[in-house]
Order: sequence, then C-alpha cells, then structure tokens
Amino acid sequence: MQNDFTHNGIRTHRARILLGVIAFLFGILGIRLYMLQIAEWEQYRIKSEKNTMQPVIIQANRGLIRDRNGIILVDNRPSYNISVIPPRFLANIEEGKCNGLLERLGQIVDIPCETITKKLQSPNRYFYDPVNLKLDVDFETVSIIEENRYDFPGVEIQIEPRRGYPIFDTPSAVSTEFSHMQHNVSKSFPLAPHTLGYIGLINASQYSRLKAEGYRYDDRIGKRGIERMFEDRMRGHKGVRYIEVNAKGREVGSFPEKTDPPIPGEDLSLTIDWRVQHAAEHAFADSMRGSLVAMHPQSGEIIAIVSKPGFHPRSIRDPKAWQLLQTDPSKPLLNRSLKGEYPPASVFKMITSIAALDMGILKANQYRLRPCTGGMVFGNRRFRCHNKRGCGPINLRQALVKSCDVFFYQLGLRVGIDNWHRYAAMFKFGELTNIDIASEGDGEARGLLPDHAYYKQRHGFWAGGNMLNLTIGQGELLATPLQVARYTSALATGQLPTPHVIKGTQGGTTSLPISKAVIETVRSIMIDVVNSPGGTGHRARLPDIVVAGKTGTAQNPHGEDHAWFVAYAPAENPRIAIAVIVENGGGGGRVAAPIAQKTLEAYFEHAVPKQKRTNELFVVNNP
Amino acid sequence: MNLSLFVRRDLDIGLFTAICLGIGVGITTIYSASYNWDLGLAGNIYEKQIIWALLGFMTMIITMVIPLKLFYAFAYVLYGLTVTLLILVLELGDRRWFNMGSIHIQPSEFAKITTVLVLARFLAYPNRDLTRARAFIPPLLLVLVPILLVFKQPDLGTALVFSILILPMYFWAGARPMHLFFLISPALTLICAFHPWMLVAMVLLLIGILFYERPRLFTASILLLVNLAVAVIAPYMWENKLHDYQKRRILTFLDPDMDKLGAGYQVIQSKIAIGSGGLTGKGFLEGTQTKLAFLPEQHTDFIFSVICEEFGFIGAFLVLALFIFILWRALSIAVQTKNRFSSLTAIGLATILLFHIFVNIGMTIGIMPVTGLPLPFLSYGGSTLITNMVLIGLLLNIYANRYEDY
Repeated sequence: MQNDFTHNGIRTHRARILLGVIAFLFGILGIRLYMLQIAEWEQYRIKSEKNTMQPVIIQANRGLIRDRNGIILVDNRPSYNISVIPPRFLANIEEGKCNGLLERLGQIVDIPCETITKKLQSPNRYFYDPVNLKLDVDFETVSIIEENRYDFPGVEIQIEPRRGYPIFDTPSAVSTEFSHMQHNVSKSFPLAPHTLGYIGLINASQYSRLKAEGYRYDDRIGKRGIERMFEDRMRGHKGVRYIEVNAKGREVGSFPEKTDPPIPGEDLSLTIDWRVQHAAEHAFADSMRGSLVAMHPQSGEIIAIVSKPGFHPRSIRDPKAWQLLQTDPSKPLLNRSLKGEYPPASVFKMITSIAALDMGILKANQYRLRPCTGGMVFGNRRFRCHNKRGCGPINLRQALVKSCDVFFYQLGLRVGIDNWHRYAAMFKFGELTNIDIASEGDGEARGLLPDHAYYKQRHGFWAGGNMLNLTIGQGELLATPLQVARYTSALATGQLPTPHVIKGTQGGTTSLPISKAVIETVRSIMIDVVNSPGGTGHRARLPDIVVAGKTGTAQNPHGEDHAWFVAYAPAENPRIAIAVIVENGGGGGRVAAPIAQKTLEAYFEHAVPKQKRTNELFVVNNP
Repeated sequence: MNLSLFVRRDLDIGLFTAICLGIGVGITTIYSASYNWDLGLAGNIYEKQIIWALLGFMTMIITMVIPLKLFYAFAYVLYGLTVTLLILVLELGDRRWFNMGSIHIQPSEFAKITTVLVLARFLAYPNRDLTRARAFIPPLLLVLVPILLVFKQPDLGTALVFSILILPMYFWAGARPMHLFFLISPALTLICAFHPWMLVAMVLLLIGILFYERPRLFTASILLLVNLAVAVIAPYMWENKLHDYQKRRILTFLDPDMDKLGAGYQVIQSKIAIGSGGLTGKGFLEGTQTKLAFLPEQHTDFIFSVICEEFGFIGAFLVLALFIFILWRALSIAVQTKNRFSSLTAIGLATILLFHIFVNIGMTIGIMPVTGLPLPFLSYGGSTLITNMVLIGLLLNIYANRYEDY
C-alpha cells in the first residue's frame, strides 16, 4: 500500500505532512523574529544605540618548549608592530597621494610611501581591523610614533608576543651553571631549528581552511617541526576584551566585566638535553654539512638531534634572507636527520656480521675466508678494499675493527641477498621510524633497503656484484641518520626502540629475533673498534668510559666521501647511542668520530654526575 | 524541451519570479552591507554578485534544457564523479576547494545535487519495499560516503545537509515514519547521553516505540544495542579521548556564547541588529549595526541580519514568505510530477533549500549553531549561487516535463 506511489492521494497526504513540517519550522523562525523585533524591540534599540562596543583580540601565549631538564628553549617575547586602521587614517589624507602625512609616516617606518598605500588598500575581511605596516620595529621608532600620536590618527603600536630563544637571545638568562658555554652560545643559531621549527604568517589557503577554528588572516601558525606538529596543543585560545568607541572610532572606555581572558597554550617538554644538543651542534665545524642523532637506546628518547647547516628561525620574517636560505646549495632548511638519505657504508657491516654469526656461517675468531690482498675479482670486475696494501689473513673481529672490505665481500656472498635483506629488515631499514615529530610520512624519509625483487624490477636482473656493494653498505642502499641511530640503539640493547622527541610519548620497543650471544659478540667487536690499538674508531675514546662504535666512509659519485660514525656508551650499560654523518667529510674515523666523542663527553659530563659514574654506570645491565 | 518553454505555460512563472526577486534582494542587501559611511561608497562585491547572478541564470537555463532522462541515466556516474572529486579535494586540493586561479571550486556543492539524484534513482526503482533491509540500507550507504568525506574536510554544516536530505526522500518514497525515527534515534541518544534524565526518557521512548511497532527481534536488538553503545561510548570519549581544544570546538559549535570572540560575538551582534530593526527597520543603508559595529561576514552568512536591521520585521516577514513560496512550489512540483524519479528529486532539492534557509536564519537569530551555511540566493558567493541555480534549473525542468514519464 505504501508503495503505491503513483496514487495521488497518498502523495498529497504525505505532501501535506511535509508542508506541515515547513510551516512548523518557519513558524519557529517567525515567532523568534517577532520576539526580537516587536516584543523586545525597545530593549534591542537601546542596545544598538549604546552599542559602540568593539572587540579587541587578546592573543594567547603560545606554549613554551622546554628541554628534558626544564630549561626553556623557546618562549615568547614582546615585539612592537606598527599598524594602521585604514578608514581612520585614510579619512585624513587625499586618496592615493603620496604627500604630507603619508610621506612622514613612510620616513619614520622606513617604507616607501607607495608600498604603504598599497598595503592599506589590500582587501581584508574586517574593515576596522588594523593592517600591519611594519613588524618588530625598534624602540626608537616606537617612541617617535608615540610622540606624534595625534598627528597620525589610526596609526597604532601593537605589542605582539613573538617566539624568543632565550638561550640564544640573552645568554645571561641561562643559569650560571653553564656560564662557561656562553661565549659560544651568543655566536650560534638557536638550537635545533629543524626540530623546533618556526611559526610564520598564515597563508591564504591555510587561512581559508582554518578560519573556522578561530584563525585570522594575520595570525601566525606553526610552519615546520614541533611548532607545526603540535600547533593545536601549543596555540592556546585567544581572549577578547571590549572597548567603547565613539562615532569616529576612538577608544573612550572599556568593559572589563566582559573580558574573556585568553587561555595560554600547552607547554611541551622535550627529551632533548640542551647541553648535549649544544655540544653536538658545536662539534660540527661551521663549514660542515651533516647530521647527528643521539638517543637513549632503551626508550628511544632523542637526547640531541642536529642537522647542519642550520638557520635562524626568525629568517622567515625577512623575505630576502628566506629566499637565500631556500636557494642555498647546501640546503640549510633540509632536516638531514629525518630527510637526509645516505648510503650507510661500513656502519652497515654489522648487519652482514650478525647474519653470518646468527646463521652459523663462521665464528668471530675463525679464519675461514681467504686473506685480503687489497682487492678481489668478482665477475669481470675488481672490487677493491679501502686498505690498498691488503689486510692479510683476517677473522670477523679483525675485519670489523679494520673495516676490511674484501672480507665482507666474501662474507656477503655467503650470506646472500635474501638473508642479508631479512636481517637488515629486522632493524626496519627502508621503513619510517614514526618519530613523533613527523606526521604520516611527511617530514621523514624512508630510505631504501633493496631486495632481490627490487633489482629484478628496477634493472631486470639481479647481479651478484650488487651483493658486494650492499654488504659494505653501498650500492642502492640508503638510510637516514635517524634510522642509523635507531639501529645503533638496537645493537646496544637488543631492542629496537621507536624514537621520540616529546617527553611522555610512548614509543614502545620491538625485540630483535636474533640470538643474544650474536649481539653480544658484535658488541664486543664494536668495543674493540674504538679501544683496541689501531682500531678505526679510536678518535671516539673517552678517558673513563668504554665507548663502542663503528666507522663508515661512504663513497659517493658527487665528490668527497661521506663520513659516518655510530657509537654507544658506556659499552656495558648503554645510556646513549649516537649516529653521526658529515657529508663529503672524508674518512669516518677521522672526521665523524671526534664529533661523536665530543657529544658523548658532554653527555657524561652533564647528564651523569661524575662521582656517580663509576658506581652506577658500570653495573652490568642484563635486560 | 527547448528555449520556447519560456513563452509556453511549461515555465513555472511563480517559481522563476520568486528566484529573481530573491537574487535582487540579495544584491541590494550586499550593496548595503558593503557600504561604508566613512568613505561614502560601497565595495565592489555587489558588482561581482551581479556577474555571478548572470552566470547563474545561464547555468539554470542549461540545466532546464538537458533532458531529465539523462540525469536519470547518469545518476550513478555523476555521483561517482563527485565522490571522486571529494576524495581528490582531500588529497590534492585545499581539503575543501580546488583553487583555479582566483576561483574556488567546491565539490561538496555539486555533491549535494548528485547525491539527491542517486538517491532518487535508487528509490524510484519500482517496487522498492522500504520495510525490507535490502531496500532500506543501500541509500544509507550512498549518503554515508559523501557525509564522511565532507566531514573530513572538515565541514560539519554541509555534512549535516547530506544527513538530513535522505529523511524526506525516504518518507516520500514510502518509508514508514517509525523506521525513520529508528534511523535518527542514535543521534537523539547522542544528544541525550550527557544528561541522565533525558537519557532515561530517550530509552523509555525507544522501548515504548519498539513495543508498539514490534519489529523483528533481530532488528530490535540491533537498534537497542546501537543506542546503548552510543549512550555509553559518547560520554567516555568526551571525558577521556578528546583534547581540550577539541571539546572547546564542539561546545562553541553548540553554544556560540562560549566563544565571545568569534561565533559568540557574531551572534550577539546579529541579534542586536535584528532586534533594533523593529517593525519597519532603520531604512536602506541606515543600519548602524552593520555599518559601525561591524558584523563580520555580514554579506555572506549574516546577510539576513542586514535585511532585518534595515527593513525590519516587515522585510524579514516578506523574505520568509518568499522562501515559503519557493518551497511550496518545489513541493507541489513533486506532487504534480508523474515520474517517480523526478518527484523524489524535487523533494530532495527542496530539502537542501529548506535546511540551508532554516539553519542560516536560525543562526542569525541565535537558535541554531554557527555553521557557515549560506542563505540561498541572498548570500554573497559565486559557487553557492551557481549550485542553487542548477537546483532551480532542475526544478523548473521537472515542472516543464511533469506529464512525461520515462
């Protein structure tokens, strides 16, 4: 019955019901309008006559960023902006003419008069809203404007909180404990600019998307790094106060009882240790390009994360400086720790070693492979060892300590691509680390861990010679410094952590399906790399702490080799794991190891009090 | 089926005239809203709106002469296309818009119409027995896809348009009112879940209706379970899973007074503007609220407040009457049309209009949340005007071919 749709009677019946709904809804609107416009008209008329109330936004303080010990890395400081309320100002000058008042204003703020007129005429949504003329002016300009206030109707000085970097801006603010570092500090950029990120003016497309969330066209918004990822938590909620204005729009009173105070944004605490970060950044020479990632190997907490060259976050306010940064061939804006992809070179030899040991191909002290004579012929090509004179008869332990390539060529062939890939994949190479400061793959590179299928697809065939390259961490293999640091942590503890920078993020760890004895063996070799006589990593030694590490020297077709060094310490009970790369730096042991050493030194000096070191740190930890 | 329908009785003169009137009032009000006392002149947006209106009439005529059969035949294709656009705009565009130079293209606008078409096509199929799940469920899925995509943009107001438009279409297609109540019961429970007595009342009401209706045990238990789950999970999520800023966003949506800076300020100012208009208004270009206190968005979302302030209760009443007339025409087109697909389409389109009108005007007088839905034909904005003209073109097309069945 209900489906007899063509039956007009049913239709008209249902249409009547729908018409009833329409009438009901419009009835509500009508009654409400009657109440507002007829019944309560008097009351609203008075309100409207008195209504000279205008809202003035009170910016909310953005959340601070602190390091793991509570030291403030990023805060807010006042800056003075000169702004103009166009209708009030324009009413006093001839339209579009550059003379008199405009000329004078232009001279004071040092902006050509034409630019000012253009700015004032740019469309903005709220007519009475001030247009920013010049941001962050010095105090002298502020006082000149202030003195001549009545000559410039509609010109205002607004105080706006801006991001400040206290350690950088005012060295004296840092407690005296670190005073010996200050002479360095003042010359440097703010720490970890890539990780902290910066805020900038909201752009048109962001604005149209976000205005429903209370953003205005002149708001600042996190553009990169932590500032961007945690924008929602750090921005806070704007407040508003109401002022009474007269017909000319001048403020004549206020309504303090109606003020809605702003809610400040949430502070963030990082796992980064300011002092270690500082030492790490300064361990890089000014001319170096590269990255360092140091993490707590058990939890994945990042202790220091460096990408060089750095930049000043405030450069975004200066279009010219920003342009230079963007076009600089050394790519200072690139976050190399997360997005730089490099062949990991000899640092990767631990993978082949673990595979060979775990599969039982040989033992660490067995001399089973042919001696190294400085090179080896495979197919119709000669693959060379970095030691041209040859390393002689050699076992796995010595091969890692001396970083003998020929030994690993042979070992790689025995392990084979599939097994090698299986073990490398246990350390999640070629996968995102899901660090909390990169969102869904944005801001983080994957690297590349090629397998058999990859070569088939890419080149049409798999050639054995590729294995020789892969086993020494070359070829098409790519990894980010963050991935390498995670791998180093896993070597240190047998657990693969999820790195994170925000305190309190639950990272979680993955156990490696590799026998403990194998890891133990590799770890003991890594101690030898640094501490045995002639070890390639000897430049990372510390006087009273045992450091374990491995060097790497990545050949690349575009110039000088990349220098790698990975390390963890103390070897018995690791507290910190580090990966360092210096682009085109040369040998890993010579260039990268000292950087790691300085960072470790700073870590043990600051993070662990000296008197405690011998008692606590050398207790062997058996997880 | 050609332009001669303008002179024949196939043109719904009443509806056409009402639309012209609406757009005329809109342009006049936009002129007033952008008028600035300090400068003694109006912005140029009313000129832009005139150009949009001309483009709108052109699209309307094009929509009028396309055979309805084509809309029927290509309903699923059009729907598929707009859904693809909605996905693409999330991935490639600006989440809501495709930016083509200075023009924004907003796929959710087209999606409203194509969703109506696809629902009408499905429900128009002869012998759909809407008491059976296999007829009742597919339209829900069809409408759920755009709802989720638009919700993700996030554009809550438009997502609600999609959720609402299916109800009258079900009703028109012959669904039982009780089933429709069951359909919206989880939403009602969600609202009631935060107040113990309302929740008890809601549960009792639901159980009562279930007893009265006696649906199959399976259906009844699913319904009860879903409602219970909503009642339990919603407060839990609220307490434990939402950040403070997310809560604040929802609360401000429901109660604009919470946000004294943005939505709350707008609504307070809008109410003063409307109330102070009185019976006859302050006169054209004389609205003090709109000129001095500076209601933001007054030429788009809050245009109705400008009308009320300058033309008073009489002006507001006439605008309401105009809208009632348009809706009544749409409804009577749906009644007169022989063809089931066209009839259902007309109902769906009328619902889109009704929802926009009610939510927008309700917002300006403080009884509806601030959603950003524009007032059809009156608000400034190219893409909404064009969409509404397509919608009217379809209605006029249906009217002209009301005796035709296919």
